[in-house]
Formats: sequence, C-alpha cells, structure tokens
Amino acid sequence: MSSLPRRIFKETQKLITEPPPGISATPHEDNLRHFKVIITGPATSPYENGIFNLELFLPDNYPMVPPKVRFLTKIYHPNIDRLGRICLDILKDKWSPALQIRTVLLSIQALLSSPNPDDPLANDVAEHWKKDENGAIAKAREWTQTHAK
Amino acid sequence: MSKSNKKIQSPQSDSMDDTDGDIDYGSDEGGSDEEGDFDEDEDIEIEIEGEETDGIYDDTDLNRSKNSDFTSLSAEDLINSQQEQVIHCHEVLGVPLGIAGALLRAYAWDKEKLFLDFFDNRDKVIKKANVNLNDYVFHKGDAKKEMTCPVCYDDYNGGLMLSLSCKHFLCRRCMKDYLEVEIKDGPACLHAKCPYPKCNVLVDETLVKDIVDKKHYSTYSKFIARSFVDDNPRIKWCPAPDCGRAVYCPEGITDTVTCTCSCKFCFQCGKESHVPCSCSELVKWLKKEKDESETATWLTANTKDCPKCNRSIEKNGGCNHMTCSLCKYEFCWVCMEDWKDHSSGTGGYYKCNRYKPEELAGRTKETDRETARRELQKYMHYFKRYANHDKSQKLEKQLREKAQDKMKELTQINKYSSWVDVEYIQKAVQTLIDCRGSLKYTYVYGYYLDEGQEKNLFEYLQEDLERVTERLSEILESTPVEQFDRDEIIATTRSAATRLQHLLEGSSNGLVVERK
Ligand SMILES: [Zn+2]
Ligand SMILES: [Zn+2]
Ligand SMILES: [Zn+2]
Ligand SMILES: [Zn+2]
Ligand SMILES: [Zn+2]
Ligand SMILES: [Zn+2]
Repeated sequence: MSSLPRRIFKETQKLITEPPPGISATPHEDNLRHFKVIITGPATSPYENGIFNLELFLPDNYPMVPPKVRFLTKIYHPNIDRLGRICLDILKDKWSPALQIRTVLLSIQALLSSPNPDDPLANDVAEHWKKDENGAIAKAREWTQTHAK
Repeated sequence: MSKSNKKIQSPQSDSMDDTDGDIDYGSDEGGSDEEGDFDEDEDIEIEIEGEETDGIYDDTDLNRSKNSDFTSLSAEDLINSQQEQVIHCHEVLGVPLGIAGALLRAYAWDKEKLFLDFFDNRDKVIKKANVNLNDYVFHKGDAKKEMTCPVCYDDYNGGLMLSLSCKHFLCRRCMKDYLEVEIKDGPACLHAKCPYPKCNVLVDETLVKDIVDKKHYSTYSKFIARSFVDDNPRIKWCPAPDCGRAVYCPEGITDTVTCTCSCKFCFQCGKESHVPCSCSELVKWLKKEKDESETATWLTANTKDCPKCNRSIEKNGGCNHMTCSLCKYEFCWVCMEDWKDHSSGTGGYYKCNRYKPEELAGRTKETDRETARRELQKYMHYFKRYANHDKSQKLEKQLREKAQDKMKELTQINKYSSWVDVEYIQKAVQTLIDCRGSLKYTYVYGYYLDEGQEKNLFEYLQEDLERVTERLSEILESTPVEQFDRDEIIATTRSAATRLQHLLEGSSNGLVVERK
C-alpha cells in the first residue's frame, strides 16, 4: 500500500484532537485506514445511553469514493440491517470528495435520532416502525439495553 | 430542408469488390467506407455497387425496404456522426461545443426539435438542459493567495486551483482524480456534477477533455456514443452478438433493417427480424414460450429488462425496489410496475401482491381441462414447426461462410469464371436464410390468426414457400460444388424470393386478393 495521503493524516489528527461530541474514531495501529468507531446513542432517542461499536474503512481511492462503514453492535433500526450495513445517501450516490469521515459519522449519529422507515434497508423493522411506532421504539430501546453496553 | 440521405448497404453489395472472397463480417471494415453522414442539407445519391448483376433480383431484393431507408454505422461512424451533430448544432445555435452536446443529449438527439425550441425560447431550453451559456470554462483561484484543497488538504497557490462556475475550488490533481473515478464508474459520468456536496453545476464535456487523460477521455467518448444510440429513437443497436454497429433510420418508422454484418432486425423492437408477425404478437409468443417451458424458474430469474428502456437489470439483493442503471426508472421487481405505486399496502418491500399469476392448475372442471389440452395441442403444433425452422436457420447461417469457400472453389475449377459468375451462390444462401427466418415467424403469425378464408390462403402460401425453401436448402447443402447447376439455383432462388415476397405482402396488406 502506498504511504498515507496527507488528507487522511490530517483528518485523523483532527478526529483525535477535536472529536465531535458523542463520537470517537481511532485508527488501528497496523492499518491506518481502518478505524474503530464508537458512537453514543443520542439523548431522547431510543438508543439513548447505548454504546455502539462501528468499523470504518477508507478504500484506496478515498476520498474519490466514500468510506465503508458498518455497525458491529446489534441495533434495531429501519435503516440498518442485520449485518450492520447502513442505508445512508452520502455513503452511496450522494458522496462527495469534499465530505469527510467526520461528516459521515455525524450523519450516522443523526440517523439514530431520526430513523427513516420510508427508505428502509431492514424491511421487517421498517414495517414494524410504520405499523406500530411505539412498539418498535420500545423494541429498539430493549435492544439498546441488551446489546449496546 | 431537403429530405435526407442515404447510401444503402446490403451484405451482397458489400462483398462484391472483395475479390479474395475472404469476408470478415465481424470486422469494422465493412462499415468504414460508409459515410454515416446525417447532414440533412446534403443529398447523397443512392448508390448500389454491382448494379448490373442486381437486376435479376430487382423486384425481390428484401434488403431494401420500400418505405424507408437506413444506414448501418460502425462504432467509429457512431462517434463521427455524433460529433458531426454536435458541430452542426454548435454552428447553427452559436453555442460552445460542450454545451451543444449537453443540449442534444437533453433533447434525445432530436436536432430539429432542439433548433425549433431554441429559436423559439432560448432561455427555457438552456434552463431545461441545466447548462450555463456564459460560464462553462474552469475558473482559476486568486494567484495572490494560498488555498487549501478541500479534497487532498494540500496547500496551493490559488492560481493552481480550479472550479466550475460555482467557484468551488479544487486542486487540478483532485479534479482529475474525481472525473476519472466518475468515468470508471460508468455512463452516469455524462451527468457528472461539481464535486462539492449538493452542488448541481454540470461538468462540461470540453472540461472533461481538458483535464482527464487520453484513456479516460476515450471511455467518456464511448459513453457519449452510447447515449447517442440509447437515447435516440432513430438509431438502434444491431442485436447480433459482437457486432457493435448500430443502424440509423431517419424516419424511425420501419420494420426490418439490415446491418452491415448481415443481421436483419426489427427497428421497432430491436429483436431479430420477425416478419410477418407483429412485435406485439412476438412478445406474446415469447412469453408463452417461457411460461410453458419454465413457469417455475421464470419468477426467480436474476435479470429482467427495465420496463422503460429495456436495459437488462440484475437483481443483487433481497429488496424489490429496482432502479435502472441507465434511465434511472424505479420499478418493482415482482410486478415490473412503477415503484411509486408501492407501499406497505401492496405487501411491503420484499413481497408484492400486485402480481397475480394466472393459475393453470386452478382449472378443475372437465370441460376446462379439455379446452386446456386442446389449446396446448394447438400451441405445440405451431411451436414444433417454429422451433424446427429456427434450428434449420441456425445451421443455414453457417452456410454463409461455407458459401464463400464454395465460390472460391468454383472460380478455381473454372479459370474463365469470375467472382460475378459465382455470386449467385451468395444470393441463394442469403435468400435461403431470409425465407427460413420468415417461415419461422409465419408460425407465430398463424397461431394468432383466426380460422377462416384468410388463414386458409395464408397456409397455402406458407406451404408453397416451405416447399421451395426446402428445395433450395437441399440443393445448397447436399450437392457437391462442382455439380452446381447455376441456372437451377438461380431459378429456385428467384422462385423462393418471389414466394416470400407474396407471403409478406399478403400478410401485411390482407390476403383478400387472389394470387396470380
Ligand atoms: Zn487536491
Ligand atoms: Zn460547485
Ligand atoms: Zn450488425
Ligand atoms: Zn419487432
Ligand atoms: Zn431503464
Ligand atoms: Zn410490485
């Protein structure tokens, strides 16, 4: 692998020195393109107080292509599937090379605050959300207590 | 504006001057001597090489459609014609080249309509195409200032930074990387926008040419050529595998066209020529064929054609929400209907209950079962004959190459015979293939034809053609070349071609008039 581009170095540095509230991202020692990410569940969301582990990887042609991110902690959310894959436009066709790891992680945090069952990735969860929102929120809260510790 | 075009190419005339007889139908050479010139102001005379020998088939040469003309275009022709169109538009409208291209694409290459609209309401046209007439070059940053590129985070002198009209600056290397990745990603790069989030400024073609390397620009040009065909109702890809040519038909209303590669196809539906049966009958027939043979596997097949543009779409996940990679149409995998009509009310995202299969097994009454059996028997009758002609046609297509060898052999056996003297063999083979192709589809046509006087007459013509076709096939396939009877082959060829013409004319004009 080629040496680490200056951009990645700078982004990493800033993530460590000025982490966004409720988010931490640290690169693995053996692979500086591979990050261990922790997002705290936003207050007033069913994920409140949860500690969610994610992994983030910067492909070779980053930032021309988006980073790859997925949840490692089990989560009950209409836009996140059983494998932890996230349905988020900026991780797909709305990606722009002027966006950053920071913006991606903030967007994921925002997705936890406002799930969008109309653009689902986990269909059964989305159906649940639409038919019985209170029930779905209760289940999300339950999962948070069991898995996101 | 005078009526346009065109030089007609038939596979026969194409190979006439190819005296070594070694014709490579797959190469681009056949197309390179054609102009592919769409210039509407120019009249090109109809030019058919080898006129003198063509005479004997004048009234039956099926390569020439009577109602409309067409031109076969090689990959190179496509790029040239496309560029000519852009240049013409640039000259007439007085807009920069890149913008002319974007305008034409926005108008599905309908130049006349673009010109009319442009002279009628210029601003509306420009707005529709999302281009900026006064600002389509790269901007440079302030050379007196240091700027940080938001992509690579390196610092540069402002004079080395670039932007589109939106003034979102990037260093040149990042702009290049960005565009090259877009191009690698596929044809959507034709709509590449400024790399800043949520900025909608379109990247102009001239800018792409200016900044990416040669290899990427050539890929980009190919995408433009592709859009030139895919978006243009007057050009269709030749369906023959590995052909890569397209056929241009200025009127856009014709049935059968012939590509330089000798493939005949329907200009309406893009499938192999299927006269006398209509496109809709063919669709019904093919669906029936599928349903009968693989009802079970049909629903689970992994690719389907986009209902809007027919691009083949692969399903690669569980979700039924499909988005066409070419036209961006969103549809449901199960019922193939617009995705907008779907919600949790239609069964959610993995199931769709809009699709209601016609249950054959649901028939219980004896009479129904009898009807079903009779229907199936009728279908099998037609299908067997259809499949047989299909098989024969595939074999006879191989004859085309063998014909070249036979012709070469004959000219060697008889020192006095020239290529023109043996050319009848090639005509005979082509006529055989044409007859076979149509015979195949006469069984589709016949299947949907109501019983009665007309059907009787049609079947009479069909039988007649079948008989002569089999005779021609026999002569060509099992007679040793040195025993070829030139007069007999010419007579049989003519007889088959005439019968084919009668049948096709009869089925398109109605079979009421008595045959001579
Ligand atoms: Zn840069
Ligand atoms: Zn911009
Ligand atoms: Zn072709
Ligand atoms: Zn058709
Ligand atoms: Zn499509
Ligand atoms: Zn559906």
